[in-house]
Amino acid sequence: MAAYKRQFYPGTTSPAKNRRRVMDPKVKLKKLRDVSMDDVVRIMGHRNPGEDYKSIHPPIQEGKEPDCPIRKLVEPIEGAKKGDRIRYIQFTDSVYFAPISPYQRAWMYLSRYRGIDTGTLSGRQIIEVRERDLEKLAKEMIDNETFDPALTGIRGATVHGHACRLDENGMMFDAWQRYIWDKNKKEVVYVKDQVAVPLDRKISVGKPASMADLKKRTTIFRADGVDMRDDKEVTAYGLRIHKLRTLGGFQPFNVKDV
Amino acid sequence: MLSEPTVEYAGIPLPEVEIFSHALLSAETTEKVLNALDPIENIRQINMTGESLSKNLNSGPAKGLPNNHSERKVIKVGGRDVELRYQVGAFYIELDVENEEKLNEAVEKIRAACAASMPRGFDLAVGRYSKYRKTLRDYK
Amino acid sequence: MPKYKDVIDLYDDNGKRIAKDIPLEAISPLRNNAIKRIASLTKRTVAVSLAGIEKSLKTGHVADALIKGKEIDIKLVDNAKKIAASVKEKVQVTPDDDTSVAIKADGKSLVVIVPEIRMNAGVEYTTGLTSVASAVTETIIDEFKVPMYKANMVKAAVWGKYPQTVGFDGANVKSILDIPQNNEGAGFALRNIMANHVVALVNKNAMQGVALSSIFEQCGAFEMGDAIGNFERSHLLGLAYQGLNANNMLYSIVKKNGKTGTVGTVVESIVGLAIDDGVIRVKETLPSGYKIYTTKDLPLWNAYAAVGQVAAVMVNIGAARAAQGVPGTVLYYNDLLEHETGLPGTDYGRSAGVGVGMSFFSHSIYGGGGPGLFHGNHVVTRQSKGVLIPAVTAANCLDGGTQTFSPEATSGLIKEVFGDMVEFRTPMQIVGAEAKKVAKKI
Repeated sequence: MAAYKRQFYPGTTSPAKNRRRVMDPKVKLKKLRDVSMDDVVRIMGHRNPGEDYKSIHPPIQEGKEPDCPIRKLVEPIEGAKKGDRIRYIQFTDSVYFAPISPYQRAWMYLSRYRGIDTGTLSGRQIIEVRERDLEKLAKEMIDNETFDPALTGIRGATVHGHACRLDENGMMFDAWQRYIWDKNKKEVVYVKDQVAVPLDRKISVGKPASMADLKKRTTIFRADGVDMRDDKEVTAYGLRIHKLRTLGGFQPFNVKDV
Repeated sequence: MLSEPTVEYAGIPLPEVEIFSHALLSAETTEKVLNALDPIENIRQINMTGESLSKNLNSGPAKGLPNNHSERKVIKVGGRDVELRYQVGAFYIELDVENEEKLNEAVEKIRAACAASMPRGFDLAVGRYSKYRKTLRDYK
Repeated sequence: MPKYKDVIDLYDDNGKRIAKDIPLEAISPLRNNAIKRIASLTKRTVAVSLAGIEKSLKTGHVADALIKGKEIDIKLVDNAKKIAASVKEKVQVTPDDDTSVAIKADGKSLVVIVPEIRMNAGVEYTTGLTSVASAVTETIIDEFKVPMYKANMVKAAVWGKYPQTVGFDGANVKSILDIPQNNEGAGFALRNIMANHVVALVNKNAMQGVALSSIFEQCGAFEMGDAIGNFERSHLLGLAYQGLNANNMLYSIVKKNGKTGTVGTVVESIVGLAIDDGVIRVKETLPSGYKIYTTKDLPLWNAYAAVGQVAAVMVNIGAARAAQGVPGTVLYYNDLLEHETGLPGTDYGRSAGVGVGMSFFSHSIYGGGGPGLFHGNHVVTRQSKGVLIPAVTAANCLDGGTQTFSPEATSGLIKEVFGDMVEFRTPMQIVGAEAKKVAKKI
């Protein structure tokens, strides 16, 4: 039989299609900017560029691991092999048509990367990975289309702002003002790292996208954009899962052909 | 919001105009709005709300460092210094008016002043949004 | 006549077949003697730290307290043989019963297995712990002629703070099971075993860890009153497919996705398998092309989902060699699976729900802790009965040394004394062998 191919997510509307797009590892996400790796490392603030990786345990040596068939089948990621510390990057996504929202980040991360620990919180998504693997992932996520300089924040703490009104320059509120609006260049510039330690030099993450463009690209359903209720497949899916969870919780053996 | 009213009870619940900005305002715009409102008669008090901006960073590894937020600063309103501790998003303007006619007159002046100083737009509504006299919990 | 028409093949931790075409009931805790023996040994086996008692007595540090002036300097480790003989004599009922006292680590510890007959004379599983604690206390007092006014120190060194508190704080006797007072509800005893303990028991073999956790959890389901009547089959399917690698499903999915796979590809594999095996089929194709799946056998689909849950953890956590991602993996695996199929995730949404709460509790958001400390008796994990904790155990087996609350830190004694017991180290093999035997009788 032909191998099964994932279908990811129901829906006919643009947020639904965009959700499928970010979840599909075969889709190469568009690269919109190129923030240098050293600058990504600076913004995260876990180590200085050029500094050695600190480790939490000795490197994994083949044949020296506990005798477990699964360890033989599952290849560790690079950072795990080296015994790297586990570090994080956390993105805050504005409800005002940010390219992606935190929960879909989880779907995207787990469909595209291995060896990761991610979690959704109110308005933000943390991802924790072995340090050297994290840096690669973080660069991709800052460079690609899921990041918008004005509506996505890199914030380790005091993340508040995702549901606030935007400011006069169209930027998401940040009580710690980690990044500022460069009036002349019309770009967003990071002046503090993700926990607001001042950076020794400014790091530009480029020009924000237009609202019209973002409304096409976003994965977010909104009453003033694409209303989820207008996507019958998505709402019917939600109702179906609720119903089946409930019926399954009652008498699973009697649930047939539902 | 503070529990206790910011000014003494006027004897009757006076009307308030709520100006709800569509964008969070910079300190500069806030200053402009307030100065535009300043000459309007019958304004008894103006309260503002918005997103809090701390003076220093209050958590994380950089705790204690100055926040240096560009919108947290002292602005000049009617020649007086006002320290902004918020990125302002709404104004509540209490009007000391005797009748509907006076009220409408003041509201239109406020609308015009805001329209001139808030290019990103706002919603205006008249009602009563804040406490105007002490209640039981203010007597401790 | 078998009660259920389900027939399974059992495979071991290396994907080698142990038993072919056996009826589902052959792995039931009610029928399979190996599972019964595991349950029995779990309550009957007690570890005694002679080195611990010796040190406590010598320093006066007993039951988490320091009592000066009542120190007792006696050589327990050197006299382990004598103590073992005396304890055995006291614990055994008849000379030829199944009592066993083994000396471990040059006398630093004893492992006592209390005879079945002694357990059967009571109704509570603590008999093992209490009778061994008393036998050890009496032995030390008698053998070393401890006088009356110092004898209470021996009691405190062995029993710890009990009965001043309900718990055995600072005790030097240890059972795999916690005391009943700490159980969340009726029948929770076998669910109150920390994932790290299981990791220690199976020597970090993730397949065996999943099997042992699954046995404990699903036995718990029988004891909680969950696995009875129409619900029994659901639990047996969970135990067979997720715990005992039935039809080699778990092993082969991990093998397929081990080198480059993600949680997403595991979802792809399990859905593909469920379609190929005829467990699910397309109910309707929507205008977008999205296919809604349905099933005639929701409990069987649930067992498949449970296998995928452990496989997703093995692939994602295995790649990280870091246990911390288990709650997130469980949560989003199930969410992805539901979005993929339109069918409910593992345990009809309960595993996903547990994943949410567990993320908070295992990431120091609500106080300290780590995934190794979790068990099915926890306020955030108890809702998903049977199929969740095996995933947690798998993750902890695969950790490369990132955890503060590591198995070495929390379960060193467990590993030292129970680590070479075949029932705990290779449950897949012994349950499989027994299933083969019992299959003929069903």
